[in-house]
Amino acid sequence: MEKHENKKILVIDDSRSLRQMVAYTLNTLGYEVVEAVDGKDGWQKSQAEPFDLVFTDQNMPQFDGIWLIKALRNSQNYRNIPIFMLTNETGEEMKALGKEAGATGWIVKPFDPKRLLELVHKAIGDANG
Amino acid sequence: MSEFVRPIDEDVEEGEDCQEFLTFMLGNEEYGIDILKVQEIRGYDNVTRIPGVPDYIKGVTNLRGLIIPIVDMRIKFKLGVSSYDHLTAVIILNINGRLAGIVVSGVSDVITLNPNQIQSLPNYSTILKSEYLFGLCSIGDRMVILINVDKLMTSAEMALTENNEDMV
Amino acid sequence: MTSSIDIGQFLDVFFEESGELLAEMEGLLLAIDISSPDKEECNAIFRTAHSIKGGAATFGLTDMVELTHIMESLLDKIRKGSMKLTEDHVSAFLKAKDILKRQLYAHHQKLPVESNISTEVLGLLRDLSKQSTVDLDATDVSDHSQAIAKSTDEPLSSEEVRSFFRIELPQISKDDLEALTAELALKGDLKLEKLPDARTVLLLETSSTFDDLVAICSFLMDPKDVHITEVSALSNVVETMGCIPADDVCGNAVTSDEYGLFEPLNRDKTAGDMPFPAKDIDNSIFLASAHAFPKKEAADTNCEKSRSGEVIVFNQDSRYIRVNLEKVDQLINLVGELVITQAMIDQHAGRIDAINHEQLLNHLTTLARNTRDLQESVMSIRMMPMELVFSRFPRMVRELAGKLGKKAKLITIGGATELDKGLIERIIDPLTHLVRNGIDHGLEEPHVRLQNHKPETGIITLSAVHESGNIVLQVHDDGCGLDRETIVRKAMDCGISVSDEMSDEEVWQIIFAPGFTTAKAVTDVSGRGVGMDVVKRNIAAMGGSVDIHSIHGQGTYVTITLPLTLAILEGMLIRSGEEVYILPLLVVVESLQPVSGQIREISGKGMVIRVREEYIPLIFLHELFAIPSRLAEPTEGIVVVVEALGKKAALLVDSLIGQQQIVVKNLETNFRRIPGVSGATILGDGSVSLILDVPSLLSISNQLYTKQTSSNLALS
Repeated sequence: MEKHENKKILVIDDSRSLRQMVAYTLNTLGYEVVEAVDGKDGWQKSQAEPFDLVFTDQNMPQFDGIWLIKALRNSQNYRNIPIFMLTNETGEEMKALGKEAGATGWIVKPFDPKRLLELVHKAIGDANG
Repeated sequence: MSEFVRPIDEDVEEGEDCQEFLTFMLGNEEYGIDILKVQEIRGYDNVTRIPGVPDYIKGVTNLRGLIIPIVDMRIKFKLGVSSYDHLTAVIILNINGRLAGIVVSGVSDVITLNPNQIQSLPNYSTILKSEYLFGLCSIGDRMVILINVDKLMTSAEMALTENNEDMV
Repeated sequence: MTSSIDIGQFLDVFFEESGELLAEMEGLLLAIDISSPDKEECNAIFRTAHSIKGGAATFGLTDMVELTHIMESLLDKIRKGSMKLTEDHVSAFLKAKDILKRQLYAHHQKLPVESNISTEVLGLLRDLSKQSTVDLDATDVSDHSQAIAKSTDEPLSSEEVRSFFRIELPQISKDDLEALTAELALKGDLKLEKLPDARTVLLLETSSTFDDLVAICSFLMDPKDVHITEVSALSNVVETMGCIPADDVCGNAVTSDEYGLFEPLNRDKTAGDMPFPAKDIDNSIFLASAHAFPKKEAADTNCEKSRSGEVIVFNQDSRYIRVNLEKVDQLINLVGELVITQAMIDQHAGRIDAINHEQLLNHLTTLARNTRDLQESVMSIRMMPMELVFSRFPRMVRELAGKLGKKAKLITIGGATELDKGLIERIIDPLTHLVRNGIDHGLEEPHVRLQNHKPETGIITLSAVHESGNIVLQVHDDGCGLDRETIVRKAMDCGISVSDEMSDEEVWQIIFAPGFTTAKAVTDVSGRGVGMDVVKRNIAAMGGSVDIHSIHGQGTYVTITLPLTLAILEGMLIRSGEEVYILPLLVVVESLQPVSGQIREISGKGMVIRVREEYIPLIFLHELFAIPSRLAEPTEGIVVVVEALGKKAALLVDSLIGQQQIVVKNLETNFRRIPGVSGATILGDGSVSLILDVPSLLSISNQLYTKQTSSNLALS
């Protein structure tokens, strides 16, 4: 099989356990995952290398997720990259803010790993496609 | 020092309950200690004297960066003149994580014993007090007295610890 | 697609993380200014509860979810400004934090969780939630006065049963929705959700019954059209129970309970084609939300702030690694050996020809500098900020003052001052004792303070500062100060000898005497007999000292001076007979070669040496340690004048070897304490050398001279 450069996903969440779980789940299907601990870290990492998909938490120290989504949408490289909010707010308020900021969609924490993979697959296809 | 850990009396059956003992001489008596308590055997070298301690505590030495006390059992149990040369062996004991070296008259063997071979102590006088001993065994014409080394080394009599509760 | 993924492996991460979050939560709660809470601080507290809830839900720890959920809702209101933070909130949150800690511990240890441990605090939090709802509507929805009255009539008992209801509404007008949400918000915690078909679902946590809700709804709509179902607490929070709609092959926006898309995904779009995010947010959602959270603007400005404002960051974990302390100590030991080797090389290099080996000597100078820098860096790994200790105190001060009916405020200064980890751990107990004493014995009751024209609230100040190789810690209370009379009287009661001539400083020292206490009654707090003597002993064991300074009616300063680290010291190597000993350079005043006229014997007191105009007790180290000396006459040796605890002494040794940094090793690790010896080190040749404990040497020497006559010391 031809060797592909793996698809890279940026996961931004201030919860270490959640980050590691997302990373682990995505790694199992061969996606490469970079973790960031807050909005600022996420922003810096997003500018250091390109990603195919971004997951971001909303409520974080430093820059929050909404700000980050807006910032990414305003930067050339991330205009068309799917950005999903990781949210454990079931209310519409946060989703509305996310939508306004330019998020592609959302996934509720905690999630079923299968659903996460399903969503990623929908958004960017196979890990090395 | 590998000659000290040569195994074992061949005629002794090895089984699950078998225990290995390092035997050494104190005067004319042969003593055995649980080999799991023995960290290593080394020569007597470079011991720094400590002020104000009994004469059998020879001092402290550097064991790979650790500072450990060295006790001369021959002095402790008044077995005549003690000399130190390149043949003097120091048994480094590990008692619940604390290390100490003991100088004995000579290290002789490693023996494997099953519980049946360990007899209770007869009522006779030995160099070590019977409270530090837990058994006796005979191998051929040798008689080995088994030491409860934890109890011995943490005893107030040895004065190696702050107080006795420290190590138990 | 994938085999099942085991999330259990992340449990440990969750436990560790939650522990950190709880500690952070506590710190934030204690630091917060209740009268004008900082927005970002409220946010940070909210985030801690929020993160724990997320993790707990993931791992199915429902008890923790239940508690964090209710904390989160309260905190959400507070951070959005729709509820005023009160002392009661902080207390309840602190209690909740304690319960969470116990629950976390139980889950971690796989112990059964006591089912009712959270009942009380849950009730407390629910009461607080309820009060808020009333406040909120009293200010914002004035025409619901009737409902308010009804709501406040409800019993506020913490034992009441609260349930979660899911109320699925038909299509109704915006006005009706507003009216209904306002009404329901009075009944409990209300959340709104929008269904894909623009209908609204309300989630209500309330003590009201099913029938109550039907009654309320029926004012506005046909009860037949409303679907009210009672749901469990967890499903309300976690909301992952809905089924996933079939894969949307057309790429239309999908929404499920678990994830959703705001717009169709189109992976093949080329750059620039993708529309920028739509700004037309569904108005009805917006209004409904705005009503439920009247201070919505506050949340927005909040966002704004967190973009630019520099905020204290706690979760900088990508910049930290966890290292086993043993590894650090091993590193320190190795660097210590390197320093020693380097010192030996330096000694030898001193003898070689400087002109022929100029380059070598230059390199050695560089090596010396690098070694020193390396050692400093490595040592700094063990250094921890005093903040770690200070952070325990706000809560203690608060609780203790409360218990004693006093008002106290804690001020900490110099939290960033660093101290060796080993010492940090050992200083906690003594400091705790001193702070307790300060509040219990120092600070006066509020009415007494007012009578004495002092502010009602007493101030306890904890400070840390570096001073010439030491750390100086100070505990200060602005209370009544020590009372000389009381101490003297009490000392006599305790059988401690006192006299009127004693200076204040000497009187203050009495409180360090074993068994001394001035507490009028044995309180729960201090005065249980474990006294200042223990404090003093513990600090002395760390190589430090304690001083007291007190002004009657104005307060007391207790000052602790400690070495920064116990691991390394600058030592002077001396020889006595065959032995090499080390004197900490800090205690060495000077060294000199004695001449015969200088040394005298004072009857009954042993030998003294006259140094300039001062007579200093002379200790023959070889005699004290009973080692054969090479000295025939004292004048053949060297006298080292040392000073400790304010007393000078002169040690007669055979010779001085030199100075070097040494790595201190503990004798007790494998052996025991030896009088006159504070530790040991390993020299460049691998041999062990003992470090002399000067204060202890002085006392041994005193005992020696008081016991025996000095007949055998007729040396001069």
